[in-house]
Amino acid sequence: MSDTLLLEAHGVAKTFGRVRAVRNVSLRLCEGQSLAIVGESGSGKSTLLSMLAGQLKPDVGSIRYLSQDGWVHLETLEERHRRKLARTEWGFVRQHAQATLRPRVSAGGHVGERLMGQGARHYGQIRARAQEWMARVEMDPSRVDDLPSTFSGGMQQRLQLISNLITHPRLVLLDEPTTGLDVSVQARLLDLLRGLQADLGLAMILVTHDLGVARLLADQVMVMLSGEVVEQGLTDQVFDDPQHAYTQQLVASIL
Amino acid sequence: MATPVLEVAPLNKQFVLHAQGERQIRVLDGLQFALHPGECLSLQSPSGSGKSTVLRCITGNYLPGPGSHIWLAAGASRVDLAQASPEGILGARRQHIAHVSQFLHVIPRVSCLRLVMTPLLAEGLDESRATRAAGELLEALHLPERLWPLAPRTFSGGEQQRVNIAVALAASQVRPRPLVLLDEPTASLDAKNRSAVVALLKALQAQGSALLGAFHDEDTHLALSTRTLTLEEHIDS
Amino acid sequence: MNPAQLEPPFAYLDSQTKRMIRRALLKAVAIPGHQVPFASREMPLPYGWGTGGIQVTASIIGPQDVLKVIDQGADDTTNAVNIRSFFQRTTGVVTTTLTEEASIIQTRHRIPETPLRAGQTMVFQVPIPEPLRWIEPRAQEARRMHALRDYGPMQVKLYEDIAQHGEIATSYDYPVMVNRTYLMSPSPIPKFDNPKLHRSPALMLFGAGREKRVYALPPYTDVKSLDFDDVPFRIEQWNEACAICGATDHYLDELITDNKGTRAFVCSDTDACAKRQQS
Repeated sequence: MSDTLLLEAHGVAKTFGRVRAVRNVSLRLCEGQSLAIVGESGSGKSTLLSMLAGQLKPDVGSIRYLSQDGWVHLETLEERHRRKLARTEWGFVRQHAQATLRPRVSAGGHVGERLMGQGARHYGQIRARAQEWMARVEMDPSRVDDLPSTFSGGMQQRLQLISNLITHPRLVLLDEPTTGLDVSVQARLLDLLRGLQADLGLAMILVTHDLGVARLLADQVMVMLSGEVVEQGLTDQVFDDPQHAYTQQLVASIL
Repeated sequence: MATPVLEVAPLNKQFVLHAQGERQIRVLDGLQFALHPGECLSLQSPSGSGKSTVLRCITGNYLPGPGSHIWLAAGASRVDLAQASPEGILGARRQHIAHVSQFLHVIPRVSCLRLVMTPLLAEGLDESRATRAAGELLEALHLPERLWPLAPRTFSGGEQQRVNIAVALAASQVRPRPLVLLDEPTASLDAKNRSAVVALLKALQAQGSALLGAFHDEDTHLALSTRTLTLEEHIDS
Repeated sequence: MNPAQLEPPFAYLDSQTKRMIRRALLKAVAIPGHQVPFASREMPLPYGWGTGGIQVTASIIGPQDVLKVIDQGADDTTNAVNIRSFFQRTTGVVTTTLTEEASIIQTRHRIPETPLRAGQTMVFQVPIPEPLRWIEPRAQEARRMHALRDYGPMQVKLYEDIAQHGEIATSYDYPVMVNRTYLMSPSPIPKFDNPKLHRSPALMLFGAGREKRVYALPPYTDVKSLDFDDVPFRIEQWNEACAICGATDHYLDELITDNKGTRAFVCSDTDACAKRQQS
């Protein structure tokens, strides 16, 4: 972890019709740091994540990211550059792998896609790299030609994950990456994520409603309610000594 | 006298329970003390509470109240932990503070050997040296080798606590931390294991670390403490 | 005025329409491989029968041109005959079956074996001009992919072919990169013909009537078929020679010659076959 600022959002807001989904959110993320954004449904956390990923433009405020070529402002970023960053320096893992994985593309095709998008043209090497990454997340490399429907939910999530990681992104955004999976599958996936985060020095922003996941993966946490950040700080401090009434309520609700 | 490692000047802490109609519990009010290298300051509390709070405020696990200043001599500079940024606190935890908590809070599903190795690897030891050093530490704490490849979730309380201590003090075996915080470190241990822990801590003390602890059992307190500090009763309004 | 006395304009299309199509063609030639929309007209054939190609030919043909029309390589199939006679009636130009004599060659699904020369124009009939059609069904996204040169998914499709079949399974309408810039569909010609597009001295024009797009390859354009470094592009090969002329380097059609299922391999390009026979 370093002190190099990687991502900074300032006064970001987004409104859909009459719904103010996100109001006045600011945050800073350094290289290698992990931040969890917790909140319940409707808190605005997923909308915020989409804006941080450059997928949605904020109505107000600025978001800047330190790319290999210098600072870029997401709210004015050209589609061409956004796509390039999304395929190289960023990763985005969604809750449901099926939304990302294409049914007729094999595991190897998914993992190798970013490489091919960057001009990789050696079939054998692409396939071998895909197999390396599959092994890294405890997937059977001999299944490199299998289609996504033949994998379990937890394996599909790993596939989605490594499809993003193959270009060594500096920032990975995750939207409820383990929600909906069986508990033991969740646990193993979280272990993997934690290990990869440490090994690769990834900066991570993780949206979750599960405080345990936040504790496990994130150094810092932001608690959102109705589009606003009501509390933020070190994860263990926010959960062990919550200041805001809503955070206290959230923490007390853990079964 | 040498510069204090830790200067609490002052520490205020109150809890506000919003769900209980904004009930305020003031645990610490204007607490002041200083701690020097080689000292072991033992916190005592007549009401039983407050000791853990002091330790947690220093590590940043609890948010110190307004007006608090917790000066830590960090390398060549001093940092006010009560006013530090989250990154600053994380840095202090990693580099300057060894913290033995009362219960084991570790990542599940990782073997205790790997848990102890992780801070050693972070100190720059390679895989084999880290493995050896971790093993030595677990051995010094009388943890049987057959338990090393296992995750501590299923261990007894005493075994878990010894893993906890090993993890907390591992980095200090390579580079002693200037400040060692101890929250009931030997509460769940028998006499033999208690003396093993005391030996480890005394060794750190001899190397110049300053110890601040809440000791429940008399033996440990007597063996280590050079000073005592009694906390005032807390105010509940 | 008696409608029977009205004659259609030269090559059927009015001059405004020809101007519009020529403008589109000029733009297409200026941006090799890029699909240019045009206002496709109602033609006396339904969609799917070559209306795009016919409109392109009609826009560029002049009284001095010599026209050849082939369908799957043959001059004598129903389609080729119909289109050729359509142009004979509406223009009066000289028509030919000899590739080297033609100035304009309209084709469906083949490029002649006889090498083309500078000054000749090929007009291709194209059903689906969008090479990304089966990979990205959303038209807007496909256009964005072209604009951003975002062709990774096409390479993934070829990767999948190799993973599932051991080789790239596409045998016709094999995607090409034009000028290292645009991904293009060469129309449903067999991949055997793809190399003929590379740096050809002839002008290649592509017309899709139903989809209302034209695109073009000016002479001497780089055209490279997509592949992998270790799984390179390969054209079809046959163990047999043409049963009629003995050619081993022509594209061969497999014909069933009798009710017993006897097969023969025969040149698809009838003109080239005839020439081979004579020599």
